[in-house]
Amino acid sequence: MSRNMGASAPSNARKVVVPLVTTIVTIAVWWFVVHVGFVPNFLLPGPDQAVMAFVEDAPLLAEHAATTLAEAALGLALGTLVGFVIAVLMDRFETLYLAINPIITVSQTIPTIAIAPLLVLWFGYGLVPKVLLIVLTTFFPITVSLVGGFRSVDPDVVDLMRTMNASNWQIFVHAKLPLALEPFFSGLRISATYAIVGAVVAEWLGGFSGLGVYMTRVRKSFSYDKMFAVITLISVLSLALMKGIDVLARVCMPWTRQKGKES
Amino acid sequence: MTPATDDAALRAEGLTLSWDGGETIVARNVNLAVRRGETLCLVGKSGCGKTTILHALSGLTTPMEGRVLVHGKDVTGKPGSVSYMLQKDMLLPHLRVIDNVALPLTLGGTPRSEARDKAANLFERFGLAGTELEWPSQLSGGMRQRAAFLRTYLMGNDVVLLDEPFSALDALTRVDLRNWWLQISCELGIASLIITHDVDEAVSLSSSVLVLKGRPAEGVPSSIVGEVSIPRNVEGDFSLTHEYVDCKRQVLDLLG
Repeated sequence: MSRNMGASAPSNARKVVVPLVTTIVTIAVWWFVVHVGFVPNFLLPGPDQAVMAFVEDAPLLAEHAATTLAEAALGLALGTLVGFVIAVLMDRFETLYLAINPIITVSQTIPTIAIAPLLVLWFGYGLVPKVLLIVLTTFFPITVSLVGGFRSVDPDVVDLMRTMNASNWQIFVHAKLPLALEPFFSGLRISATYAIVGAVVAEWLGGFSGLGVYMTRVRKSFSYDKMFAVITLISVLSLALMKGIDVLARVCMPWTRQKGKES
Repeated sequence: MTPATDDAALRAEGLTLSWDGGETIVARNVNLAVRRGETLCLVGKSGCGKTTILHALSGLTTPMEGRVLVHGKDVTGKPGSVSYMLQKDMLLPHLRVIDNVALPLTLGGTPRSEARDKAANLFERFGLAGTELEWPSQLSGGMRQRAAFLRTYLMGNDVVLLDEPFSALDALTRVDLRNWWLQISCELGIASLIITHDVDEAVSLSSSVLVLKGRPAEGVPSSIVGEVSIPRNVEGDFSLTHEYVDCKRQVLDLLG
């Protein structure tokens, strides 16, 4: 009896406590190896040093973070739009799907770090190359998830709507698009993290402001405590963006919050 | 076969149907007629082409030969003249129950509020009162099926095709819903053609059972091999009578 109870789904408290304890233990181990001297402090600053650096540079970090967030938001918005349009066209025209599906897939095998210098070369150090890089990295998860969502719609739903004299547009608006929302938000979640990373990578290669620029400067001055502070900030921003998308998904899909009944 | 009569709401004449663009003949020379207020059942084993026939009758596919008439008008290959309820309820998870059932009206151009009002007036009659603003995931299997019936009714046609509408329900709900459908289709004067592989269901529901037989996947096209008329003027519980058993035996004999 007790064994069965033990195998049941984790309680809400456990879901919070277990990852929290893991995080605390990780930070404690990190602090320990640095302060006991297993790793030289000039190679790896302790967590307390990273926090101090963060507090010290907070106003400057906020300024750079605003630039990075603006680039990421603009790039993500455009990437989502481009990804959506491509997905709709691929779903509507089978020939187009067959024609561009391999090209889109291959485009994602090219490392971001390899494209970024070219974009800087072609478009300079301004906003354009950064936004372009983010668009290139974020449209793909959107396109793939949406095309998958459109294609996974039960053909019987389409047949049923055809018996109601629904046009292709009505089938798209009333069935395909809402039914593809769940995969779309999964794709958007991935794209959001790519957007922040894309912005930082683009800023590495040139620019006047942004977390990537800050990162390059502190690396050159061997301020690794500040490196860890900015790395943590980038992670927090990505997580916050993902959380924001989760909230947006819940608002846009209220039906997913309901529990089913037995027949 | 069903005799040709002028008062048929739905008539199929010499339908020949195929799969794979004509490579496999599924059914040959299918003739049937359903009158207003009548329920006809088409029974056959799994894979004999029942759903293919229903697809052709609904206009979703065009037969190789033959034609489909609704109230005498040729509607072959033209969806929209008959209402079709598929095997699964196909309620859209993102629409509230009232918007799901009002979907045929909305698609036809009726403003949303007007479509909702029209649908809401029928909720009580279809046993759905109080579920208007719920999501489909909040309904039980039986209630979902009732909602699908109402949506089918709101398609606005007096000819309804039902593809194994009760197969996904538990035994008790199935019997309840069958009796309810029999009553409501009579009241509303709906001509319905139901396909099923459940002989008991066919004999309980219909005024006539058509038996489809064949093995299209093995190269033997299906055809209607017989029709059993079901007497409806029997007193008491029909399912406990000799007539019921006799009808069931005839259907089973035809099925082989």
